[in-house]
Amino acid sequence: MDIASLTLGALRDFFIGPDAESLEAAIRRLAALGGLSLEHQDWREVEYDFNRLFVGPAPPAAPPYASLYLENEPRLMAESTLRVRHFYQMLGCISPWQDALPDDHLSLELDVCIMLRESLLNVCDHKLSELYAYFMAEHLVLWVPAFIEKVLNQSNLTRPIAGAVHLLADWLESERSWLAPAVLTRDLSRPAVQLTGR
Amino acid sequence: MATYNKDKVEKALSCPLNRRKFLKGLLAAGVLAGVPGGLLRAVASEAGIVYEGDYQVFRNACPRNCYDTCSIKTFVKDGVVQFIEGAPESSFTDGALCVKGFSYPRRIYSPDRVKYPMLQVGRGSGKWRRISWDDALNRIAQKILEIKKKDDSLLGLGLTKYSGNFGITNYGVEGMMSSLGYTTRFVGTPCWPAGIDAQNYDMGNMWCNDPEDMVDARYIILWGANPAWCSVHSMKFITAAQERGAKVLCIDPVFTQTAAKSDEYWQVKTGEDGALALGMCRHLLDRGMYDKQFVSEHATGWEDFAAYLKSNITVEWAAKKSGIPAAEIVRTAEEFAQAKPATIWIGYGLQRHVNGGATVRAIDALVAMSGNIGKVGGGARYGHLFTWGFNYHALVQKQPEGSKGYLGQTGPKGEFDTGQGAKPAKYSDRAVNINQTARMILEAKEPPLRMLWASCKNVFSQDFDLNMMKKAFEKLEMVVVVDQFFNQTVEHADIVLPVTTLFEEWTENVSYWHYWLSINEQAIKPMFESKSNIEIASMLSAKMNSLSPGSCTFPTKIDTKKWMEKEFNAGIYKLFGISSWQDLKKGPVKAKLASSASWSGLKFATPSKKYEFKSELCATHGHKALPEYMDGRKPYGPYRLLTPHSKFNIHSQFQNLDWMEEFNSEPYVYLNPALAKEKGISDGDMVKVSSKVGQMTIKAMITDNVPPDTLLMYEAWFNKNPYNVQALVDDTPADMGKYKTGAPGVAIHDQFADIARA
Repeated sequence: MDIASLTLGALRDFFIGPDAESLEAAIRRLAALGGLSLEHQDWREVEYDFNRLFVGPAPPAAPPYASLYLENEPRLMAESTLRVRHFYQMLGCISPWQDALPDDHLSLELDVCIMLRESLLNVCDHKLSELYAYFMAEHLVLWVPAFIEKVLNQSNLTRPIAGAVHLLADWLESERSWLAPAVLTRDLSRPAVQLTGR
Repeated sequence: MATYNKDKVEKALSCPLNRRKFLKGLLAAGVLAGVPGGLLRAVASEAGIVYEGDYQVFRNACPRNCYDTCSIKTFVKDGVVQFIEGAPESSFTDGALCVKGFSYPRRIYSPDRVKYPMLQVGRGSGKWRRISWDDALNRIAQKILEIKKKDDSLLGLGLTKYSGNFGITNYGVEGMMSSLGYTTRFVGTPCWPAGIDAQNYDMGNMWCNDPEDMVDARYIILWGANPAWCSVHSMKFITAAQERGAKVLCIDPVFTQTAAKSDEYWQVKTGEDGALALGMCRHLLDRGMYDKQFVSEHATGWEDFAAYLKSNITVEWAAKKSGIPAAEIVRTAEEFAQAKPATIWIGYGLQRHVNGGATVRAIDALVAMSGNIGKVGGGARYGHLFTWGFNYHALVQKQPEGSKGYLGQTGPKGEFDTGQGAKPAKYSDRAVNINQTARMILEAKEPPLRMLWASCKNVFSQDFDLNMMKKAFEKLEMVVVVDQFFNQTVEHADIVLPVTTLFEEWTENVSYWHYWLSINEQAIKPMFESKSNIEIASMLSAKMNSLSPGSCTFPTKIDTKKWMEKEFNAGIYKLFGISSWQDLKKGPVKAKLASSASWSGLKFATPSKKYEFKSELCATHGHKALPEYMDGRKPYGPYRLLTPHSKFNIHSQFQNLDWMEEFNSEPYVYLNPALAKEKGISDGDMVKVSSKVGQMTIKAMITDNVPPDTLLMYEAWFNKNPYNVQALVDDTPADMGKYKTGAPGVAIHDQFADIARA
């Protein structure tokens, strides 16, 4: 796997991390890849912050599901969620949590990106690259920047979360160069938010 | 650089067949075989993906604490509820839902749902950890075993559960508690107990006519009920009666939507409904306009009641007490007595008073003496439990061998307690008053209440005296809340467990108002890690038994569909004229009633088998034998505070959904223009409302729908909002309720407060 895929893999595991230990493990992988500097951190505090932002039980500040950013009346398991499911089906894939966890959870979407990137490294297939370009341009870039902005607008963000979100933004930015010019007209610029953290 | 043809990809995406074909060669070659450590799985075979063209239709029922208990048709595609409809097979639901019901898909798929078992590190700290079910149950089971060791019983473990989900299998929560041992139970009901007792004293049971026969009424009094908001499906029968010439009178301190749709409206002085009813009785007595055959042949105590009316009640007195002019009382009493049949819908609001039971008895007496009991289109309609004869298989569980418990008197554990199940030989649960939850937690001794399990119940939103509740929770060593959303009770929990919505579990539902039975099929997989109440019980039992064999009798493996089936019996099948629960898959069915009228044979269930104007049983229980006037609560503040139901929520459910927030974005205190002027308050001003138990700062809205001496705040839980009417409402009991529900009701509408600009 190339560095981008490895980074994506760590981000994927971060955004679906169930506890402090898995969040720390994912951040350590990102640090080892050179994407983040690892500082002394109370990982339990990161876990509380993570749940406040992405999980609950209080209404999460930035839930990591595409449909909430794409639908006119945002809800989980919406039309756009099922389109993502259908996209997975096109690739012969299925979420292990289908019908329980929405298919458009950020981590599942990063997972399919890794799969497509890695497959494209092995086989040069136009249809495959077409699908990846389509998924990036017509789906991911339409919601992930808004998600990133929502996270970065939060006050008191813990540093590892801010760092992970910035790496996600960096990756999205880097994929721009690969996408077709028509797509470049979309505003993929990083949100104008200063990196702050605690 | 990558290019793609959007139309082509989307065409392929939109059709199952094309989806499979698009990458067929590559898929077959295994090019996309999983990347190590990845999440997505390869579909084992093409059969692994179910391609569905049309909707799958499921049968469901709304299990909320609502008159209407709607039969629902649920349309599922791709494993996702797309939309729901009212079942057309039920002539009550009649193909339509209410505004709350139609919002259900917003609830199932709300991003705000509690998704996983979670642990709060420091109650109220907002520091939450996601934990596995195993971890959560381990912590809970360890605590239960610790309590048992410390106290030599489980009376330190309390259950508070009420009406958040009336699906029959959800009584498995009570079953879970019994399967652990003898515990402390919060018994009674905040809703309707005074009226239940009243009707039991008068007629021997609470048993209302089929609401669908209101079309046959010639005169309808909607007394303290607001069906235009709280029983929208009943309105079509009322409207149909109106169209056939019936007169509809609404009696309520608040000018409600129901009042607006009525032919006549009386703004009664709050809590003086009993005086009004007795005034009407006195007038009918004077005019001889009462059913002489009924009062002599089918009733007892009539002479005593008549004597009481003659020596204690006058129309003028009733007018003064109630604020309704004597001439109106006289005219309406006569119209009501002359209309055959005439009926009164006795709302739950008017019995949430210190004189609530006495009031219901007075109204019953008016319906009875006018000869309207047992008549199609007549009746003193309050509610019924006629169709609730299930097995309560989930509820009836045995305590583990050798369990110790409470030694003392016991009573029913709520209105649905049919007394079924094994009678404890020696020990019992410790019953404490659900309407004084905070007080009971603070006062429980030997052993103290150490741990609270809350399910189907938002304690902070629905129990009284919020400040006392906060203190009470500080005393608890562990709080477990089973819920769907992060409400104010979850905020004060140590562990929250995610529970299924009605679309994610098997159960069955009946109503306490209409006579329909619905199956509730599991239409979708539970979202995230939510589990049904009985699954939680079985998992807890497995954990308890692994830590301490024999410590819990609840079956450790259950099939929830089978448990739904186990609630049915021959009696239910016969009552509803079905041969199997499977028949309900075709749609809801209605009980085969001898008559739409309750008590049609005029054989009452009282000790005398007659209607009892004079009830010795009632006197034995410390009340008056006759339906005598009883004074209301003495005001202790300048204005009456009313906290009735809104149309956007049922108790603390629904208002948090986005659709409701769009129409009803924030709470208000409503006050009359005259009072607003006196206090210098304008629309939208922030005001401080204070009572003897607490205070609240809130926006004011001015409306002449409320009387000048009244402040009105709808009870509701607003998402991310500290609004809570229980900060102002104390836990003073109503007069009745203990006889049939185990604890007296609560005087929710006998509350007083002051208001000032903030």
